[in-house]
Parts: sequence; C-alpha cells; structure tokens
Amino acid sequence: MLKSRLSKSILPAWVILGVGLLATVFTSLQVKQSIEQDAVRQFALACDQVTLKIQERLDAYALILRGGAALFAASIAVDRHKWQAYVETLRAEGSVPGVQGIGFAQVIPANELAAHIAHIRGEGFPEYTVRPSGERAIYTSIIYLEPFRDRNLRAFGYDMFSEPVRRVAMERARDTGDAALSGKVELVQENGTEVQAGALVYVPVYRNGVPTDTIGQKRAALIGWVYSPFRMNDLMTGILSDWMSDKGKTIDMQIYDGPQAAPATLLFDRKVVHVVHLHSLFYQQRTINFNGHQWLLVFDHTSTSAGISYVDAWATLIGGLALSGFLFWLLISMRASAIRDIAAHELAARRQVEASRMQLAAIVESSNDAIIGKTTDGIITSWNKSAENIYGYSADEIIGRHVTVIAPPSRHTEIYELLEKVSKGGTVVNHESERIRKDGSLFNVALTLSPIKDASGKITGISTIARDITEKKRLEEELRQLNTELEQRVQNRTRELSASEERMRLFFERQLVGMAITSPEKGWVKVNDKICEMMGYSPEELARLSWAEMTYPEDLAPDEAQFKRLLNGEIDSYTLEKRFVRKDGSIVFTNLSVGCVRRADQSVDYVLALLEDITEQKSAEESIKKLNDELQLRAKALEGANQELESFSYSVSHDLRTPLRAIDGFSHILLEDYADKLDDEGKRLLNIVRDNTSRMGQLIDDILKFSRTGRLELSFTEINMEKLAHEVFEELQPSDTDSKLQLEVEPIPPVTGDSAMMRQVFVNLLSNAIKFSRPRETARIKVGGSIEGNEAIYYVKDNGVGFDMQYVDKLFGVFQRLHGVTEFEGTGIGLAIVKRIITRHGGRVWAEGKVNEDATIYFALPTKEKNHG
Amino acid sequence: MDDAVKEVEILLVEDNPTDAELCIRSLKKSNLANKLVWVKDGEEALDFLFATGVYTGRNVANTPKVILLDLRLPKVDGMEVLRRVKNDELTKTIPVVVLTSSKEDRDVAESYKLGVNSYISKPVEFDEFAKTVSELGLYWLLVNRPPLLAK
Repeated sequence: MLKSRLSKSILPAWVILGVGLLATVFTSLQVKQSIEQDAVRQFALACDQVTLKIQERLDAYALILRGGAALFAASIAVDRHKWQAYVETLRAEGSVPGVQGIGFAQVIPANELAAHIAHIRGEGFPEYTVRPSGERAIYTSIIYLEPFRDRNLRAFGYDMFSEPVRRVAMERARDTGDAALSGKVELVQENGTEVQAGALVYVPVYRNGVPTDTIGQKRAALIGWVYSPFRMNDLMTGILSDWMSDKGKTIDMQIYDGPQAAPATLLFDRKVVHVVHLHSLFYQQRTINFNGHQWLLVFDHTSTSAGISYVDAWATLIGGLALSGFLFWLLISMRASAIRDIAAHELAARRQVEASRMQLAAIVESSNDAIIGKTTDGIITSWNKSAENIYGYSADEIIGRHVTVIAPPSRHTEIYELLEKVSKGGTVVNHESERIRKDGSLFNVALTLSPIKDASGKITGISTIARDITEKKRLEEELRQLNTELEQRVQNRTRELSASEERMRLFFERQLVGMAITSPEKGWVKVNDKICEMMGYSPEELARLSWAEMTYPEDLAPDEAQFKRLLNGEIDSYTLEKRFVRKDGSIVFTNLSVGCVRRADQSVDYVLALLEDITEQKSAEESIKKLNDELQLRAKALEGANQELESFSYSVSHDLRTPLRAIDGFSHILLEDYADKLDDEGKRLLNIVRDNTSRMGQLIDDILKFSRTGRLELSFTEINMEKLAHEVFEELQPSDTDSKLQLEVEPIPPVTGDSAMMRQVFVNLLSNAIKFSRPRETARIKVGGSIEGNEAIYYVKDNGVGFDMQYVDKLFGVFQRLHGVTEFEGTGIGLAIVKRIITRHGGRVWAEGKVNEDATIYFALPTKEKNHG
Repeated sequence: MDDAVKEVEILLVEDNPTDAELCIRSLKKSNLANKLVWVKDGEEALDFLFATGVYTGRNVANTPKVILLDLRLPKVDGMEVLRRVKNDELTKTIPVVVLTSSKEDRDVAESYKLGVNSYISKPVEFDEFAKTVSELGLYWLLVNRPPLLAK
C-alpha cells in the first residue's frame, strides 16, 4: 500500500521531466533555426554588398573610358603621346586598379590598310602589322594601349573585330553609343602560364561634328573604340582585396558570363576548398546587368556550417536538460521525505496511546477531587492524593476503616442510604453533604457515587468522587448578598429618578420658555404653561389643535419644509423664527427650536419644541426698520432736492442773466440813441439802473460759485500752504498801490486737501483782508499756522476796520454783510464759501476781531489720517 | 423765393428776441449783419440748414460762414442742433460758436466733445456783450479762413 502511494506520488515528477525534455528540445531547435536565419540574412547582405561593389566598379571604368572617348572628341588628333599622358594621369590617381590597360582600337577600311601599316611603321614600329592577316571587309587595329609594355605589347596591331566574342561587344558599343561589356575571352596578352579568364569594355569614338542619331549614322561616323581589357582574377582582387582578406575568407564566389552557371562560362572562381557539394543553406545568386550584358554571381559558404555559432542553441539545450533534471530530482526527494513523515506519524500515535494510559493514572492520582474506593458495606479500599489533602488522613491511616469516620454523626444515616442505593446499581451525582476532617473541622462536599462492577457485571464496590465545595458555598453566599445589595440600590435609584422626574416636570411646566412635545402629525401632545400663556389657549384646547393651523399663514411653508426633512431623517433638529396666531387673533413672534426622538427604525417617535417669545424684540426691530426706511425715503427726497437745486442754479445762470442783459442793454441803447432827449438827471437814473444790473450779475455769479463749491467732488493732494498763500497774494495785489501793503507769511504746515478749493479759500480771505485794510496807512496782513493735536490750524489776520464780536455769528452766513455797499464792495458770500470749503474738508472756521483794530479768520483742517474718513 | 439764392454769412439761433436784438445791433455797428439770418428755435435752425420745413427749396449748398448758437432753445435744444450739424457731411465744416448765458462746466465740456469751434458766455454788461459779439463777428467773417466749399 505504501508502494502504490509512492509510485502514485512520483508520477508528477516523471510528467514534469518528460514535458521539460520535450520543451527543451523544441526550444533548442527554434533557437537553432533563428540563428541560421539570422546568419543567412547576414550572408545575403554581404553578397549584396559584393555585387554592388562590382557593379559600381564596372560603371566607374565605363566612365573612365568615356573620358578617353571624350579626349578624341575634343582633340583634332590624339597621338600616341597624348594618349600615354592621359592614361598615365589616371593610373597615377589609382582610379583603375586591376585593369590591364586602356587603349584605342582604330577602324581601318580595307582600302586604307596598306597606308595605315605604312603610317604606323613610320612612327618607329618597323615590325607593325595588323593581325590576324587575311582578307576582311573591314579591319580594326589596336594602335594605342597604355601602359605600352610587357604583356600589352602583344596586343599592338591586333584586330579585335576579327574575333566573334569581342566583335559582338564592339558592335553593340558602336550601335548604341554606350559602353559595352564583352563575353568571356582569353586576352591576347596571356602568355600561356597562369591563364585567367578575361573580358573587355568598349566605348565607341565617333568622328567629330557628324550626326550620330541613327544606327546608320553611328556606323558611318565610327572611327574606333576606346577600350579596356581586364583579367578577371586581377580585377576582382583589385575590387575585393579588402573584403576577401576579411569577411570574404569563408565565402565562395563564382562569376559566370551570361545568365547560366556552366564551366565554360566561368569568369572568376574563388573557392577556398574545392569540394563538390550540394548548395548549403547559404546559397545565393545575384545578377549584374551591364548595358545589356549579364554576369551571374554565385555565392556560397566554404562549408555548410561555417560562420554559424550554435552556442546559443546548445546552451538552451543543456540549460533545459539541467532544469528538467533538477525539477525531477526535487519532486522525487520531496516525495521521499513525505513517506518518511508517514512512518514517523504511526509511531507517534502508538506512543500517544501509551502515554494517555499513564496520563489517566496520573490524573486520578493528581486530581483535585478526592477519589475514594470502598466496598458495598462502606469499608475504604483506595484513597488518592487529593483525598489525603481534603480529609487530612493518609491512605495508610484510612484504608480498611468505615466511611462514617469521615462524616459527622448527623450524616451517618444519609451515608447508609447512599451505600444501599449504589449497591443496588444506582448512581448519585453531585450530592451535597458535610464531612469532617481528621482535625475535626467540618466542610462541604459534593459527592458523586457510582458502583464498581467486575467482568461478570456483579457489583464489587463503590467509587466516590468528593469535591470540597466550601469555597463555592462561600461564593454563593457572597453573590446572594451582592444581589440583595444591588436590589436595594436599584430601589434607591428609582426613588431618586422619580424625584428628578418631578423636578423636570416642574421645570417643563413653569419655565419662561415654552416647551412642547408634539406628534409627527403636528398635534400638541404635551405643552407647558408658558405655551398656553403665549398662545392664549388652555392645554385642553391646544390638545385639539395642531401647530400648523395656529401658524401665521406666511410662516407655515418654511416650518413645514423643515419639519418634513426632520421626519425624513435628513436632519435631527432645526431652528427658525415664526409667528403664531393667538386665540385672540393677535400675533406672537417666536424663536422656535425643534428636535426629535427616534425609534429604533429611525422613524420619529415624538418631537420636542422649544418656543421663545420674541414679540417685544421683534417690535423693536420693526421700529428700527421703520426708522431706516424713513431715513432712506428722506435721503431720497434730499437727493431729489439736491437735483432740483442743481437744475435751479442752472436756470439761474442762464435765465436770470438774460433779462439782466436786456435791462442793461436797452438802458445803454437809450443812453446812446436818445442822449439828446435825456437831461442829466435822466442819464444819472439810467446809470443807477445799469449799476444795479451789474451788481445783480455779480450776485448771480457768487450764488453759482457757492453752490458749485458744495457740488464739486474733492480731489485730495498734498498742498504747500505757505507757497499757496504767497502765490495768491501776488495775484491779488493791486498794481496801482504803492508799498503800503505788507504781507507776512509764517512757516506753516502743509495739508492734504483739494488744491483748487484751498486756493479759493486764500483768494477770499486775502482779498477780504486787502479790502478791509484799505483805509490803513500801512496795511499789514499776516498768515500763520501750526499743528495742534490732530488739526492743522491756519489764520489770516489784518489790521483793517475789524468787526464787532457780537456779529461774529453773521460773518460766515450767505449774503451777510457788516458794512455798507458803498463802503466796501462785495456780495457777502466770500466767507460763506470759505466756511463751506473748510467744512467739506472736515474742518472748522471761526473769527476774532475788534472794531477798527483787527480781524482774524481761523480755519482748522484735520491732518491727513482723518481727512479721508 | 429769393431765400433760395440769398447768400448767408451768419446764422443766429436765438429764442430770446431782446438778446437777438442786442446781438444784431452789435453786429450792425460793425457792419456785419447784412447777410444774417435769425432763427428762433432749434427746429427752425435745422430746417434752414437742411432745407426742410418752411425752408424747403433753399439751396443747401448755400451754407453760412458761421452759426451763432444759443443752448437753451425751445423744441430742439442747442446741443442737439450742434450734434446734427457736426454729424452731417454737408454741415460739419461750418464753424459753430455757442453763444449762451450758461457758464456751466458740463455745457462747455459737452459742446467741445460734440465739436464746437468756440464757446462764449454772454457777458451780463451790455458794453462787454456788444464788444464780444462784434469781435467774434469780425473774427469768423473776416479773419478766419474757412475750407473751400463746393457752392
């Protein structure tokens, strides 16, 4: 059974191992494939690069040959030296690596052949002839080929047109005008050793200034070809030398002439190891098309696996195997340890049974209860440790004696009854009784007795478990006493509470504040006397009413809205001011506070309302409001009056002037046109009319000035009062007077105020001073001032006619004059304007004077801080 | 109607006949009242200028060299006349002189805002009044050079 469990338990380990191995192999293959794909991609890229390089180089050669052809086109004659110089320049520049040479092959019509040969021989080449010999319709001859030495000398005089492969390329060049690449040839330069495949590139040279648009024209204009032969190995070494010594080391490459790969057309072969094998996975083909002639490039790796690093794939494989193995080991070892655990467990269980048996014995021995065995007659047969402790007898002392020894005589009958009951098979549970210790003291016990039977079921003895319950009894007594005490306390408390309830009730009924308990249905459930007094109803009458029907209609909606929120549980209390209609129809203002007591389900059980009579307070507020309203009305009226005044003064300025002008104007006309008809008295009277109209005009101007002083808005700036006084005095000083006018200005503080208005103040005060001191021999005018407290006080004093202090009150009134018009001119408005300006600045004016001595006008302005208030 | 062709130099807008008389007399003394038209309220002034109402048929191109305008006028007040004159292409180049008893600052400010060319408070005393009126007549008719008008 253990085995099957074991084999069952290690199954998952095998499964994991299998899955792990499979996953490892699969993943390794994936990695390998991806490595190969990567390598192939890189290889293909390298092939592209090589192909591009070769193509570029061929194009570059074609360009160089075109340059040579252009030389012919540009020059009238290109001789051997010119050609040599041209090619040398190119070679020196290193622009033609791997090229055998650059030459020129001339077209020679058959009839000019002899002359041609003679001509070249004449240049110092006695051996020169055109090869191969034989009759041909047309000849060509390589006449220049630089560098003109070594292998190249063999080409001198060779007729390339006579050879079919070259001819194809030459004809293509001639007919297209483009550079043409020949097929695979063996160059005449080869001397039999290290023979390499060769090819040539031709560029046609046409006669200068001849049309070459059609093939016919091109053929007729042809004078030869600039061409270049190259040996393939040398060429490729030139093109790819860097690459071959590096990346190309492990790459096989073949170049075939034409689109087919065949030994006969093999132009270039670079095989590191010549082993015939099937194409590897790297096998690549590329094609180069050079103006209609194709080369096939074939690439492969030198060996199938070369260049690929499978390290990653192997690492994956090994890592996976290791991991699977490790997991397998781990699971196996875990299982094994589980089996060891099972065996250990079974052993432990056996040990436990044994231990519990011993424990049982120990429990009996160490039990807190006395466990006593006795015969059915009551002779004690066993006595445990607790029995010794509880009764005071040792086992040796008591075994063999009768149980009545440990019981007081009053319990002996009970003992016999119990013995008899149990001897007959009955049991006794928790029987409370009294026992006596060895020292004679009594104590309470709880006894449990049961019969002891032998295997045949016969009762052979009695076991007794006795517990000392003295302590328990004591606790019970204590508890009972506590309970009694508690009951007493509850009774006392209840008495106290009912007393407090009574006090509450009295408070409720007699307080100054109205208190009520109302129902959710808005009925008055319980009200105190104050509410009855407030509402003018008796409690019985109120009980039949709801507060809603007693509410002043306008105030009902706000209260009901709040009350609804209270019922809905949105709020627990609210306060508002509301009016109630008393029984006599009068209105009582109240401040209402409402709260509620909720049931367990949050619904409102009853509502508490506190009502404060605020009728008196309200009526005070009402009267204040009334006063305010009145004040506002008056302010409005005042504003209206002001506007009226303004339009009045406007009318004055316009309408009153007009008749004045008429009176004056027509008096004037009368004087002018009827002068001969008026006697002197008539003229004098008319002049009085005119004087008075002028005075009237002055009055109107002054009234307007005065009213404007009250209307204009003040703009506050810092004013240098001392400077202002000087300026104004300068303006007012009459030019005709001599030096009898003296002004003294003390240093006076500056002030913040409206500068135009403050100027007007000085104008009025100083002109008054000048006017009233005119009778004096020397008029002395003094301006002074100082800061006193939070006022700047200024004065203007003169030694003029002065005034009687009993008229001082009239001084600042409008149109108030203390002198006759004939004495001093003026309308009596100057000081009124001064007073108005100073008052508007928040200041005050006053005057001191004595008849015929002096007059001093004071004005005080608040210092800065108070000005804007 | 010969009004249609009569050349006008001064348009006097004045409702008060005594003021008008004093004004005209002063101008006459300086020989400036020969081509003067006196209208008695704002409406008549506008009718004259724009050839409407009783002035229908008048050649509107025949504009005065200067308008002497009182502000307190029956029907259409002086400010309105000024506004209409200065807002109309035909009349905006005509110099307007406010000649009024008002010395109110707001009247002065408002008049200049509307484009008045000069603002004169009528002096109460006749001597001064006569002097002022004749000086302004001389200035606007003889000293001042108006823009050329297509007549």
